[in-house]
Order: sequence, then C-alpha cells, then structure tokens
Amino acid sequence: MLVYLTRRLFWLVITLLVITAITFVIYFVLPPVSPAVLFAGKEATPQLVATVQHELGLDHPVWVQYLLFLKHLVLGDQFGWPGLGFSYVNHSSVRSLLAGRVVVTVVLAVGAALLWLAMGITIGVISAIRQRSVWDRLALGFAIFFISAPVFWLGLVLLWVFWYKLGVAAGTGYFPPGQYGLLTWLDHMILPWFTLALLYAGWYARMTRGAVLDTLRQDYVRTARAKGLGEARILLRHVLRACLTPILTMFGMDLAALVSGTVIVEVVFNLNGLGQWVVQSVTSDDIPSVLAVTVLAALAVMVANLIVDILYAYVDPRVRYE
Amino acid sequence: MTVPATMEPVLPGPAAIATRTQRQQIVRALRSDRPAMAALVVIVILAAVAVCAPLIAILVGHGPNQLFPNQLSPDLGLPTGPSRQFLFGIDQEGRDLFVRCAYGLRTSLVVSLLSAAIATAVGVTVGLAAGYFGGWLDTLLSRGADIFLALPVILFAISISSVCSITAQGCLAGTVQPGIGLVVAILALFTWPYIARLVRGQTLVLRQQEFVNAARGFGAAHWRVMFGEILPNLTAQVIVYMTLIIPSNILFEAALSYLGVGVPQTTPSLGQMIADATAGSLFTYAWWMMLFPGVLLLLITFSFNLLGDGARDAIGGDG
Repeated sequence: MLVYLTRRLFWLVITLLVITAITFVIYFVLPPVSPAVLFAGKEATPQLVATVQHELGLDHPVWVQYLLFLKHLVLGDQFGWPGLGFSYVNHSSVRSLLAGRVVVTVVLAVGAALLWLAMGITIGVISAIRQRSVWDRLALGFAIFFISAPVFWLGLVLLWVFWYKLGVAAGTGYFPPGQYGLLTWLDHMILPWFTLALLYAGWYARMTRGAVLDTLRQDYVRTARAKGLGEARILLRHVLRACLTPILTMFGMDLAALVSGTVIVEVVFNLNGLGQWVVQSVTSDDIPSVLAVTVLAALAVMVANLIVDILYAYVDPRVRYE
Repeated sequence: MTVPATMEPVLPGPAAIATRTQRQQIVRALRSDRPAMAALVVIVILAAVAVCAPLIAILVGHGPNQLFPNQLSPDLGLPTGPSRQFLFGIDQEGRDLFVRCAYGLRTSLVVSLLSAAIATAVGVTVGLAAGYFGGWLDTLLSRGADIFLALPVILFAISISSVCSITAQGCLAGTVQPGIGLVVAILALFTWPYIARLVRGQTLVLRQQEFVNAARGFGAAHWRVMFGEILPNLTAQVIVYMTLIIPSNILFEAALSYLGVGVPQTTPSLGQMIADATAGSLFTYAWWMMLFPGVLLLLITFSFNLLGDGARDAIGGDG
C-alpha cells in the first residue's frame, strides 16, 4: 500500500510540473504582446512598461520566471500561501480574490456530484433488474438525451420552465446561507445542481446498469440466492458492492470534466464562483487570475483522483498488487 | 434420396454462412437497429441543410449577418417572433434566425468533423506506435496522454483561445491565427488521447498474433505492419469512437462560443446564438432565440450519439 501511494504521489508531482509548465507557456510564451503591456494599461509610456516588466520579473529568461512562479506557488509570496501573484485588472492579490469564490464552486460541484450519483445509480439499478422493460428503455433514452444536451441550454430551459413560467424555483445568483438563510440558498441552488447533475447522471445510469447485469450473472450471487437471502439484501450487499469499483473509476475520470460543467453552469446561473471569474478574467486579459484558477483546478482534480485511487485500492484489494 | 434435397433450404451449408464478411455482418446489425437508422436519416438531413446554407440564404433572401432593424418591435426595439418571412423569428440585432441557424449548423459540423479527423489521425498514429513498439516510447506516450486527460480542458481551451485572440496576428509569431482553425486545433489537441488510448490497448493484443509475426517474417517494415496489418483490424472500433467524439466536439465548440471564446463573432454559431438569448435574460421574452438553436444542437448531438451507440452494439464492443 505504501509503495502504491508513493508511486501515485510521485506521478502527481510530475503531472503538476508538466501542467504548470504548459500553463506557463500558454501565458508567457504564446501571446504576441508582453504581459507587462497588459498590466500597464492601454496608454502606457515605454518607460512605464519597462518598469512593470522589471517589477513582474519579466526581464528574466522564461525558465527563471517559471522557477520563480513555482517557488511562489509552493512557498507563498508576499500575500501569503499559496502565492498566486496579483491581478492585472484590479491590481490586488489573486489569493484574496479567490478565497470567497472557492466556496461557491465547491458547493455547486459537491451538491451536483451527490445528486448525479444518487440519480445515476438508482436509475441504473432499476433498469438492470427490470431489463428490457419499458422503464429500461426509458432510462436508456433519458441517458442519451441528457448526455447530448448542451449544458448551457439545459440550464436556460430549466430556468425558463421552473423559474419564469411555473415560478416554483428561484432565479439566478448565489445567496450565501449565512446571510440569507438556508431556504433561500437551497432555492437558488436547486436548478444549478440539477442542471449539472443531469449532464452526468446518464453516463452513470448506463454504467451501473451494465455493471449490475454483469454481477447478477456471477456464481456468488447464485450462491446467495441458494442460501435463501432476500433479493434486496443480495442487491445491496453483494451486487452493488461489486459495482462500486467501476463507478468509482468513472467518477475519478469525470472530475476533470466536472470543471468544464461547473464553469458553464456558473455563467448560466450567475453564481460568483471560480468559473464565472475565469470567464470574466479572460475577457479582460487578466492572465494571473486565469493562470491561478487553472493551476488550482488541475491540482484539485489530481488530489481528488489520488483520493479516488486510494479508495479504489481499499474497495478492490487486487489493485494494490498490480 | 429426397430427404437431403428438402433439408437443404432449411439448413444452409457452411458455405452459405461463410459468404457473409465481418463488414456485412456489422452493416446488417446496424440496419436492423431502428433508432440508429432514424438518427442517420436526421444527420443526413441536417448535414444537407448545413451544406445548402448559402442556397437557403439566397432562397429566403436574407444573409446570415444581414440586419433588419425595421423588424424589431417599434416601441422597445425588441426582437420579434417567428413569422412567414422570418421562420425562426429574428434576434436582438434584427438578423434572420432561420438563416443563421443553417449557417450555425455548418459551423458546428465543419469544426467537429475536422477536429475529429485530426484527433483520429494523431491518436491512431500515437496509439499504434505506443502499442507496437512498447518500452520507453509506450511509457512516454501513454503518460503524456494521461496528463492530457487529467487537464481541466475548458480552462486551457479558454486560455489558449483568448491569449491567441488578443491581437489579430495570433500566437507564435503568427502560426496560430484566431478563428475557426484555432478552435479546431484546440478541440483536436484535447481529444486525440482518447483515440490513442483505445488504439494502444488493441494494438497490444494484436501484435501478439500470428499474422503480425508472419508479416514481419516476410520482411515487412514496421510502419507497414502497423498501418497495413494491425490498423485494418481496428477500423471499425476507431470509426465508432469517432462517431462518439463528433457530438462531444460539437458541444465543446458550442460551449466555447457560448462563453465568447470560440469562433469569431462574424461566424454564426449555435452556441453564440444561445449566448445572445441569455444576455439580459432576453430568453424569457424571446423564447425563439433560445428554442431553435438549442433544439438543433440537441438534435444533431443526440443523433450522433444514437448512431454511435448503435454502431458500438453492432461491432459487439463495450468500450
């Protein structure tokens, strides 16, 4: 187990290095204009640009800049840990700008993930035990439909129906529970959660269906039946447990994709999380802000993947010895 | 003597069974899959609309970016709904949504087909090389693909797209220009690893087979074995996977354009049209601006997914 963990951690560090390097290249090598010009503003004199260039450390060679960036990321800069530099647009520390927004994104992502797991697994199990029934066909159709739906459009349609026409859900915006009460907060989160969850629930329903069907054919399930165990108990204790491994694997792989979904849902529902901020920063060419969120998102995805891998080894002991 | 004669038509001999090739079997299985066939018909129709977009514009008499400000409601300047002259209504600037949707479909298909083709070419080459040669090359290529799969794709796509669009000369001293080409390149960049992973896995199995050894024994070069012997066995799976990558690329292009970092403003895109409907909650009033581009987008991706699914069942794969 320890060897497995060490190897995984080693890969995490390597991957993170590569990702930060790619991100760095995108922002400091690709653009045709120097970041200093962006920082100094439209009507900057060449002297001002030169000063800014010096202050941002842009007069160093690219690889020195990269190492400095890594150093700040790991050890922190004058604004504290992790050092993410400062925004070109409002000239304040990116770290302080990020702090409040992380919560919104995490709330959205976690809520949606729980919802899609619940929906996907339930629908998958039902269509497996009622194989080839009307329910099964409906569930498969549902799966492909929501897999195909553009998430930003789905969000709009849900808003139009449930907020504008029926008036049963609240409109857009994020309302922190501490300030506006739990109910208002929930009311505003339900549609974003469902939008994001529906997008992925289809995949999980199909996946669970396949896994349950495979497991039901196993000898130990027949043994359990022969012992006289009830169907419910067999399903929960014997079948679903075996299906956890593929579901978990898929969950780990989907975390990177979840970032995309979150960005778009935040924009549609006007939630002031990291995703919405990235899109705003992109339109105002605020490079350090986008860089910071990209690195943080990559890090979050990899740490979550690591956790999934550890869980994986825990659920399925064979993994540890591979 | 008469018994075998009457038996014959009921039980065809081995020769009659063997005449059906694998390809024929796949086509047969796919043909009997009704949802997949319906999806194929829808795709053909929508593709025809996309190809004929300029023709539609001429027939209707409205250009995709032509403004009809006198069609906006006179008091508030709001868009007006579907009418005989404007089948899908007009948008906030007074453009014909019907013509724009046809052009948008064209953008979706061009971008997704091109990017899927590039991703497949790269993915197949990388996958074949990694699986066939193995060793350090395999480690390098597979790990590289793994890293790509772990990237928060949309953030990188947004970043590259916006950085290369700061000025008109683009990136890397003008080699990467803002526009449709950039979107295609970004989509291809982030989808090749999926194909590479699939091809590598299959190549690992196939290279152990006798026909590969036989080809090598006859003195065939490595590239010849890879592309001439192994690749033909993978064609069906690669095509199926490509069919499933196309809809996801259509959605990705639409999402980028929705966020304002996709194709240029002057190119009609379904994603951008939905963004127009979102701005200022316009969709609550002008439902047609939300409905038509969205339904078209859904219809085309849904059809590709259904077809891809059917094709996957037909070749008997589960990946």
